[in-house]
Amino acid sequence: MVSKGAMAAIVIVIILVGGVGAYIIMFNPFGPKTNPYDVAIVFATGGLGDKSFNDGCKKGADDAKAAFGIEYTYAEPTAISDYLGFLRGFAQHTQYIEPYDLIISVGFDQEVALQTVANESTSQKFAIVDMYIDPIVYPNVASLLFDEHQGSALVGAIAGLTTTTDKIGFVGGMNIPLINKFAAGYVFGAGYTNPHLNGTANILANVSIGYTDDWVDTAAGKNLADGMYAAGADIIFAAAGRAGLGVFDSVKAKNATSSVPLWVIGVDSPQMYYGTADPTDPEPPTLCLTSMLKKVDVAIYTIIEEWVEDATWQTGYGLLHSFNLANNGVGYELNSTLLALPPAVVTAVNNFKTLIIAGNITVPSEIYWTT
Amino acid sequence: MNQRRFFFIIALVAAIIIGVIGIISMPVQQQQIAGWLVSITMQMATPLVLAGIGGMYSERGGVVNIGLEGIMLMGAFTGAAVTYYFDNPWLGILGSVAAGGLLAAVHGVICVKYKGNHIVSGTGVILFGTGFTTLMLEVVWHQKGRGELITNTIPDIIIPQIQSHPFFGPAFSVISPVVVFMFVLTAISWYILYRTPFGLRLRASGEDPSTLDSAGVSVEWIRVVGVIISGCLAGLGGAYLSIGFGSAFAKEMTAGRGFIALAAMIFGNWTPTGILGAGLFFGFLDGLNYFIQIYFPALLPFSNYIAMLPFLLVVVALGLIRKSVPPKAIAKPYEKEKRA
Amino acid sequence: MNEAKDTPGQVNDSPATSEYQSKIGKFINALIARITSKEFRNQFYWSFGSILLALVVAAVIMLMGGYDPGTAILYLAVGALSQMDQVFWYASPLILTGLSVALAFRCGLFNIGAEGQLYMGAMAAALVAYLFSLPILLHPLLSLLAGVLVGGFWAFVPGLLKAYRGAHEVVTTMMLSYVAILFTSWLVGPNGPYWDGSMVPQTPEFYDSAILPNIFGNYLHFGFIVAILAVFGVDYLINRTVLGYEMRAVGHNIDAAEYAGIDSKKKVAIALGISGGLSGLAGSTEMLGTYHRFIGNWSPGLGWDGITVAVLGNNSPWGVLAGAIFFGALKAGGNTMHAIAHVPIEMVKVIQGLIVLFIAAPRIIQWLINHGNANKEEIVKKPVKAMPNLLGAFFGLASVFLALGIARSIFTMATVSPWTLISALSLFLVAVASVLVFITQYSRDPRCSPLLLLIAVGWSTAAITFLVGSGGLELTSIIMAVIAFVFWIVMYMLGKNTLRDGEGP
Repeated sequence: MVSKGAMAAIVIVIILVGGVGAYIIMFNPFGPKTNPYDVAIVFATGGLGDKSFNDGCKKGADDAKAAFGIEYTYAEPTAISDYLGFLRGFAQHTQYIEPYDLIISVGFDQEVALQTVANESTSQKFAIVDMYIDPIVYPNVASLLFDEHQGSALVGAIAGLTTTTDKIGFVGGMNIPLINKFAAGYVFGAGYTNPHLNGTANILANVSIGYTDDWVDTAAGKNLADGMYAAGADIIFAAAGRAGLGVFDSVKAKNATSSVPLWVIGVDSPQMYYGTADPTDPEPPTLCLTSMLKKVDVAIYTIIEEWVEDATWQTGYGLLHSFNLANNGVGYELNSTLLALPPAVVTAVNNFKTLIIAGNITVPSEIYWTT
Repeated sequence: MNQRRFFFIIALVAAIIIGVIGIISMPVQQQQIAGWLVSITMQMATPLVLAGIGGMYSERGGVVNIGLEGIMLMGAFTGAAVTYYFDNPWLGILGSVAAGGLLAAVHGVICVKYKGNHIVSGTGVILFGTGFTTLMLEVVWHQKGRGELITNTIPDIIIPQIQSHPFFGPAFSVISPVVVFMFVLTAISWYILYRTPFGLRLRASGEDPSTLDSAGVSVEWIRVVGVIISGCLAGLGGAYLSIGFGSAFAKEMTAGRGFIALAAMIFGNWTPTGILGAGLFFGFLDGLNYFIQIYFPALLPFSNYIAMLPFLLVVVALGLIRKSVPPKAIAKPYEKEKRA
Repeated sequence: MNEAKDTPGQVNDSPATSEYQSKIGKFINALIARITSKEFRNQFYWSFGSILLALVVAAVIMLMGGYDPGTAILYLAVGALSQMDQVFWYASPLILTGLSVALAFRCGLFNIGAEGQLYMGAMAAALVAYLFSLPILLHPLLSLLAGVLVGGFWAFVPGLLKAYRGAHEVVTTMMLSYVAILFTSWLVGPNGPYWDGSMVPQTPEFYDSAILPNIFGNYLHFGFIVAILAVFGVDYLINRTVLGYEMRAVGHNIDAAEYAGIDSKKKVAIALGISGGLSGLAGSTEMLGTYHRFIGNWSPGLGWDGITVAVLGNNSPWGVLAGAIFFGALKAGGNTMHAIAHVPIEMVKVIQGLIVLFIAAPRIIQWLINHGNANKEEIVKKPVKAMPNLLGAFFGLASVFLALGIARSIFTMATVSPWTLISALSLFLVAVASVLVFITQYSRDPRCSPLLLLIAVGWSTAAITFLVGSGGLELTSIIMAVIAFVFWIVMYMLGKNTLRDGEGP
């Protein structure tokens, strides 16, 4: 069926189509093109549509587009091995005369690829979200870092004050340090405001932690959440990318038959609207208590403003842009039109926040209760 | 043989009764957990069993259908899209069944009429289904990755009488009609396969097509019909994921369930009851994974081992107890003998 | 081969040079003979036609999705051609996993769990590469060897289970592949022994001595050479050795093989073991050449793609090589297409799927060719009679495109009313019917009349719904309806005439 004949056919197809391609590349019959884009973004492998991390980055770029009139292009790799090709493609800008002003890598796993490309194109400016790249070795890379555990601690505190069963849950994407950072902050915050959730014994008894082992399988997220609500937890923090949206499905189904109010806590982007009956037209009530905000959109907006708009590029450790509670890079969602949190809760959480900013309380960034 | 089956059924029923009595004599909290496990088992089994029984119709007729994953995605997508446009989940189900059947028909025609290689064609179906649904997702909802939430999903059957019971409440009081259909389908399929002329012909076309042909029945038709049935059922299984259990279509949302359904079909030895058992077993193992994660927080560092336990159990079970015997004429295109 | 030697040109040449004909000359002659043989020509047409048809259908889908197919396909080609190093780089692990699946297929086994063997092999290779410090040449070799052995072991177990316990390999290898993914990500995770302490589950970087150097370009590393060597090796194993012969015999007919005295059980286990070893090798070369560290869940589904590559290559080693390179080209070109033309990367998957579907059924292409030839003859012989049929076929095609295009524009409208939905549905039916009309007209089947009427009705329904529900495309619909109706009448008359002609003599 397909053996050597197939090979020859394929070769000829490649040569034919390729002849055209080579002709276009070599003689460039359409004339040289000016680069219509200022910024190029390479997203993380989860892709757009997660309603949190990648979509947040896109929102930041959209905001910058609206504010400064810049244009941006993007690529959605499907595998770790694709990063290098996309980054290099943008850095070498073969089809355009001018380079891009800024190339943004989204996600921790682009570290190695970005280092390689940053080494090759030293005049090109890069930024990476969620990863630390040594600014001395790579003076053309800005790192945009987040203290997610601090934001998680705030939503944890809200959960600790709101829970009626004194049991809470956490649904993570995978059992990896990056996700456990969220879990640690969340449990710490809850323990700070609720004594039933403080101390190793209490945590083991009252906090359910589960992983979907998959970033896209909403069914797994829904099942885990169903189980946690059945086990008595009434608030679940969903930090599992697209799989975490399954928790929203679960809370809507379970809340209808539950005797106590059930809640879900969103992650990364404001997700309270997603907890309403019809997210396209959000109206109260919502079942999403609050969301841990990791303002990647602010980070993207900031770096575009700094370099593309104002043309100031930091040097040395100035390239490390840290987004934490103090500069409002992380936080919690407060949407009074959808849900009014009791003022006592808001006050307590804001006090907690002040203490963290002042440095009186240090939020742990890794799981501290099991050994 | 019949006697053995009879005893097996008696033993099964007895085991279920004893199990239920055991569960309802437990404390309330444990009863609730058991109820949750039962419901999760059924919910997770449903797409597997539907697609698995679908695959059985195809393979019993002699056509390998490894494209179940792609067909399920197609069903999930069409179900969600039709429900989104018409705001009626039943039309969505109809659409998903039709779309699944259509894609399977392509596979069937290629395999049977054009004598294509079944695995090649099945692979093509998977690739096409995955790519096409992701692409169309953007066309329909103008969003990437995940479509809009569908508010009008398949309504659950609610039995208020048992809602307050600690075990039966969580297990059976809110149950999707598709889950009920899974059990009905198993019975129907058993009847069709072993008690109707069509079933006999289907089995014959998978075991010994030349006999069937000499009896004057078109092997090609029987096989194509089998494949189309498989597509309809797999499409329904996919729709359950997008508009029954979940409430939106997301790209690659079946997450490999088509392949697990294939495994369930083989594990169930190509029989409806076996597939139901295998599907429920897989569903239960899924539930067990979540159960251990939730109720044994001290095992947190070993969550990966807990997650892999079900898969290892399947391998051990298959290695110890079951010998898989596929239909004899499977994947062999049937060429009519030339009449002189 | 023999047919070609009969051609006059070669007969004239060969007597003069036959004594001095060098080996190269023989090889070239054999090659020419092979290329001019009918079998080869058919295969060529089939593959070429499959690719072409797949691109056409993909273009239709792109139009439906609102993308520009011209730019997309152009950049697909440009991307594949201008980045040959990326093409081969993407191809090299696919060659190995494809060989792995193909080898198992040859022995009648479906190794669906190549992904797991890949992970286990990669893990073993990674451990050797970063735990031990070894001399430069030895290090990668030992590392690859470890990968092969562990990957092989991961498939040998299901092989044994299949041979001696009858456990179906599809289930066991698939389940074990999930186990492998979870197990390796635990090993390199924070609770496992080989974690490097970062935020991600991964091992530290390998020693430089273990890394496979690049051949040329930024991407292509020595793993490609390893893959090519493996192609030679598997070809030799399957076609030239006793073991390979016995494996093929078992795959062809296990009962006959047993009867001939072959220990089929042993062969099954060994075949799956070798298959796993090849997958393990794929993982190892990727580790040492591309990633330079083991990252949890790193594989983008190389094992699954291996199945596609194997079936595309008809389970022959050289076919696998061609299929893998073709897939690599689609991948590299697809990335360019995505980055520049902004067509979603999934389009590549659609194209891949369509190509595989069409390749699965060479008889479809054969059908097109045969009827194309018949139509050509008929045009030459009696052009007047053939014209309506061909015009009908052309009308069918045009109707498909128009119907789909209009249906698409309906879905992009701001407001969706029941009327527009009805018109979309009827247009969809029209498209299906039009495909059937094309098929019947193209194959000169006289039974097309009712279908044309159906199309006419469908278009007029669309026109009415457009008129009622303010669509704006009613003119096109009315014209199409009228044309379809006219065609129906013409066909009806012609059908009557031919019947009368048939009765006459």
